[in-house]
Amino acid sequence: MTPLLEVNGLSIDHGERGQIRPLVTDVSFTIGRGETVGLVGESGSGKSLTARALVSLLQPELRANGSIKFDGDELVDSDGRVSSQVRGRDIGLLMQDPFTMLNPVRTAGHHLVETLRVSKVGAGLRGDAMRAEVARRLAEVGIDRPSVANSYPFELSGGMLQRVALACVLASNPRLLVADEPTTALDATTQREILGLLGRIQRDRGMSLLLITHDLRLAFASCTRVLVMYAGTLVEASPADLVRTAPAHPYTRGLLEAVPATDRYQQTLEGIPGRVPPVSEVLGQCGFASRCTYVADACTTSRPELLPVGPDQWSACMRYDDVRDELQQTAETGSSERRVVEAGPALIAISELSKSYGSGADKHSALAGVDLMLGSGEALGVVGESGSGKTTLARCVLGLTTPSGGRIMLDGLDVSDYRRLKNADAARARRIVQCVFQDPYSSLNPMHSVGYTLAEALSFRVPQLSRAEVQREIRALLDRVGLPATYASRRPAALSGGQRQRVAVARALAVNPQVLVCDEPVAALDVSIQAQILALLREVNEQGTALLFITHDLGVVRQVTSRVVVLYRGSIVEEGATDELLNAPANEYTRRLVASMPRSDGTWQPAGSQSSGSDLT
Amino acid sequence: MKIVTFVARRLVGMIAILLVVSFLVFGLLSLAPGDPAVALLGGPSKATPEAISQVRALYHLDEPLLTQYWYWLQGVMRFDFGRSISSQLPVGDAIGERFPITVALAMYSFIITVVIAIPLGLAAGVRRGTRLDRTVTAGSLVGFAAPVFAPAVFLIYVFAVQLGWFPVYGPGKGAIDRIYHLTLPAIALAVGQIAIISRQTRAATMDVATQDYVTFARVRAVPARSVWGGYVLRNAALPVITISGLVLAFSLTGAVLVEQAFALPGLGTLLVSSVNALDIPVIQAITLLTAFVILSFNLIIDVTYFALDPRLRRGVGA
Amino acid sequence: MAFDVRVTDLSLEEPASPSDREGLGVLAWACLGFVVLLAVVAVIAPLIAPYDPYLQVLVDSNQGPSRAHLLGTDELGRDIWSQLIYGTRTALIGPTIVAVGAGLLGTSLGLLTGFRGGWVDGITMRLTEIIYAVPPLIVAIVLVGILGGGYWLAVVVLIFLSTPADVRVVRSAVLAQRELPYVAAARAVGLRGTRVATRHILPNVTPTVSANILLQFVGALVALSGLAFLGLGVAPGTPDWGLMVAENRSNLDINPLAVIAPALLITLLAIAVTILGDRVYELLSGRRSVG
Repeated sequence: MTPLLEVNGLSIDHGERGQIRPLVTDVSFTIGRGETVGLVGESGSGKSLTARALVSLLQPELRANGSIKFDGDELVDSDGRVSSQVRGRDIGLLMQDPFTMLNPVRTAGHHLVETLRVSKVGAGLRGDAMRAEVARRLAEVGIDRPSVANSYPFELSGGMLQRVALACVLASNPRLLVADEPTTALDATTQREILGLLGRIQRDRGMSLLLITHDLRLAFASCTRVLVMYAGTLVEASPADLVRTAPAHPYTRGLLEAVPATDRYQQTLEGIPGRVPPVSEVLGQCGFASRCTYVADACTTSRPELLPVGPDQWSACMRYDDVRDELQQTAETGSSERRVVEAGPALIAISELSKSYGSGADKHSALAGVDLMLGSGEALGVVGESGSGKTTLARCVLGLTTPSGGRIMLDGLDVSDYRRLKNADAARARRIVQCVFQDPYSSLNPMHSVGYTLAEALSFRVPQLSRAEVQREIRALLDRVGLPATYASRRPAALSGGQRQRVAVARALAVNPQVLVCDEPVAALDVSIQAQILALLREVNEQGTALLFITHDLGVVRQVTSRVVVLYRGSIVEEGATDELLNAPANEYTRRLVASMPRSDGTWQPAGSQSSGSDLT
Repeated sequence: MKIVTFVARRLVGMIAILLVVSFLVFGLLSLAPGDPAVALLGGPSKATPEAISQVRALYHLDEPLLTQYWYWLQGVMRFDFGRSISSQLPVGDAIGERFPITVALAMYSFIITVVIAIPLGLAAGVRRGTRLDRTVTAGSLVGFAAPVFAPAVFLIYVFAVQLGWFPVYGPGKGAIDRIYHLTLPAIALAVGQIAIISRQTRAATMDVATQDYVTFARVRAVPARSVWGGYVLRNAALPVITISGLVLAFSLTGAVLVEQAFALPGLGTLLVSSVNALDIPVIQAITLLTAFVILSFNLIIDVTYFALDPRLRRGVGA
Repeated sequence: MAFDVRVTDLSLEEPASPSDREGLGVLAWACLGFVVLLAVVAVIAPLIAPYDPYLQVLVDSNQGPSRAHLLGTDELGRDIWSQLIYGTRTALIGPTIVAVGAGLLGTSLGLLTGFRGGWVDGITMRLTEIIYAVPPLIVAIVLVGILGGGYWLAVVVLIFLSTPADVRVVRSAVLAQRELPYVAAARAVGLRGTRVATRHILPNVTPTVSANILLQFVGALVALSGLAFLGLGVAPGTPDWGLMVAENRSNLDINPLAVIAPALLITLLAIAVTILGDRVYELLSGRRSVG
């Protein structure tokens, strides 16, 4: 029997003749009936474009070449257009952001009815019969309250929206579902529920599933086969277990090691050097050559093909036979010993901290009585999902938000209300605490050079520096964060995301603070870059600066912090040494959180009481 | 929030602004050079001592300013703005005479605007980067920048003087003749409005057409007609409605210039002649009427918005 | 050291986006050239105008274009071409003063209200709401008319009527910037409010401010010529494009150029400055508008 989907030599180009810019080159794979396949890659790898080509959603200026066969029928015509005949009928697409996927001025039910009408399924249904069908469809995606059909998108949570969207996609009973990062915009606990739901529906319906994700662990946990994409082409295609235990391409292995493990402490955090090159720059060579440790001359003079290297295992590495053993030697297994920094006397002491927004009926409490202690030199993690109040906590400590109640002591100085501080005290507080924010693209002033930004921070610490001294200090700071001194003259626009985040760290260090508050400092970065920044922050901590590290990512918190508090709806629900807390969570919510992250081996932590509809609010 | 509460709140705000504006409008009298009584009489030549004392009594000019305002406001509530200095008619009548022409002109140009601007903007927004789009963008730039009287004189020259298809001046008599006479003025007035609306429609369409929910509708094989009607138009309408207040302000200003250019006896020409004759009561009435029209229109826009946007209706971000 | 932070992402950094390295572009250069040309003409008008624009030669009245009078004459026998040349003065000076004056006032107020918020913001916003209740040009017609008319009076009135729009634009730009993390970071580094406002927020709203000043120039040009067209701006007889349109309107059949040429010049100048405004914004903010 032919596979359900057969992609052969698919390329996607941008632009007219003469000025063609390739975006995806020579991608081939198949998806069998009822099979679940993962397509993994970093941003810019071309994975989303490939998905869009399958459902004929390429922008008009893009052309597809090669072959896409669905159930034996060719979808690509000679003009480079993909037929939209099967879209929305046999192939469905679930998109990334549930908050933007539904029409804001229409109800959930309207979307579902509309889609049912389009497909033959609901063509003849009217009135009560249609309502019953809508309720049945909602129940399939775990929504047992039919009244949800009357809600507008803005009235539903992310998890609910993604369920409604899924029900819409399923309305036409597709045979292949393409899910493009379906959980990236969701909280961790919701993520596991949605993935579980997708898996169940896929099994129940015998549907094929193509899961597109940047997260290897998610692919391992959900898929039987994994395709790894890099710089516009496939570099590996193997069963999920083999990708995990015996990666067949240096990039796959690099990615495996770059992902911060949730279940163990890694002695070394190794990112992949460099960044993903534009597809057009690596046409006649191996796309990964410039970042590869095993690179040889052949890698840069010809293009490697995706060839079988074992039973059902394919690799595009020309040197596979030479490096196979090294690739399969997993760097670290089991926990390595953590370097524990002894916590000194209390630097930050927070008691009964509360913050609420709005008033009257709209009053909403972001923090409800938080007690927290951070010793000097310590690395303390604050873990929580969106709405937990973790960012509010950071802003209160930094004096960017004034708490509604409670007390914040910084090294004996009461900074509960920055506005009431005397100038000298405010300046002292600023010298104790500094910060690194999540979004490296907006946390640096685009109008100022790196040097200006650093000099400004320096002048605050030591006002009377001479020009030469400032230059020397800037060089030292840039060196400390791993950037060459020439970067002082650059504007943020000329830096990559990882480089900007390094500058942000340098700016904070310029003040020589005792505590660095980090609010999701790697959440906006690609996996291979994350490890570099985490390693930098670990080094900063070892050199004596305490960290107050705010994150939703348990892998990140495992690697960087030695103690952790779990924040849930404005309160601390659990607190303890990082390893112990993550290995054996005591609190119900913490258990759920830990269970929602797949482990490096692709299994889920056994869930306590997972109910499929628990994000209904 | 219930729509009644919403409208009530806006209404209170509108009345407050109207009161402040009315006070400023009332103050125009004291801006005029010389004795207000002389000004109200239409100049020193007509200001005999007994005429002055008569006017002083009529307008309560010897009372304190606030009391004067209070008497004036009471009159205004009954639509009594006093007598026009130049025509000696009650101001209400003078305005009533001119009102229909301006309204006809505004409606006419509004219809032209909607019929042309919205399809053009939609088409340009959908076929982004095509020749059509570039033409619409360039055209709206020209229409937006040109002062209203420029297209007016151009139209007069080409279609009235050279081709002789339309009359040069005047309002015409009877319905058909009036439409005929108002065609060129309405087009001249519509040029700028078309520029504003087509530009905004284009931007809104472009914005909405690239939203995920439109893509997702296409993914679900929702028919193109529903995607355009229920998704693109429906959502693009909101920002277009928002700027229609600006368009009205533009239209009122433009009407003054267009009426002047085509010698139409509307409110605009009345305002200009009253300003030249220092006919303060008429100026006051027209200014306050303008404010009333604009504020009422903004209220209608708010209510429309409220009805169209479920986020407001259900009390989020209201 | 067990882990190496020098494993960096340095090797292949992105180049700066190409658009902020690009120049004005052909169209914008042409517009700039046109504006500069008009400015030069305004300065050297007496040197290049063939006739005194005020000179009435009644025997030469209502002539069509000829070798003696390039664009003909008006009812009073004044040379149209010379009037156009002198007309550059009122077309450029007044709008420039209005745009810069309102720009300065509006930017300071917008920065203050946007950054400080609170009651200053509340009062300013209520005031602009009141001013917005009547279209600025109608207010200008009424005020200028009652106060006796004249070019400079119109300029002063327009400065004050244009300021609220500037306040709104700058204020909303400031509000958007204020929420960005770089502002929080600047404050966390210990900078004072005034420094954050002037050194961090101001440079980032400069594209908006500059583009807006050019847009206000266009608004003032259109308003001033409109007032002149209604007989409320420049004194009768002054060589002014708006006034020329009004005065020569009745001779449209005899010498259409006397009307079309000044109307066209106003439109062209307005278009040129609008295009420059768009381009300046794109250039300063380093991004091109879509489409």
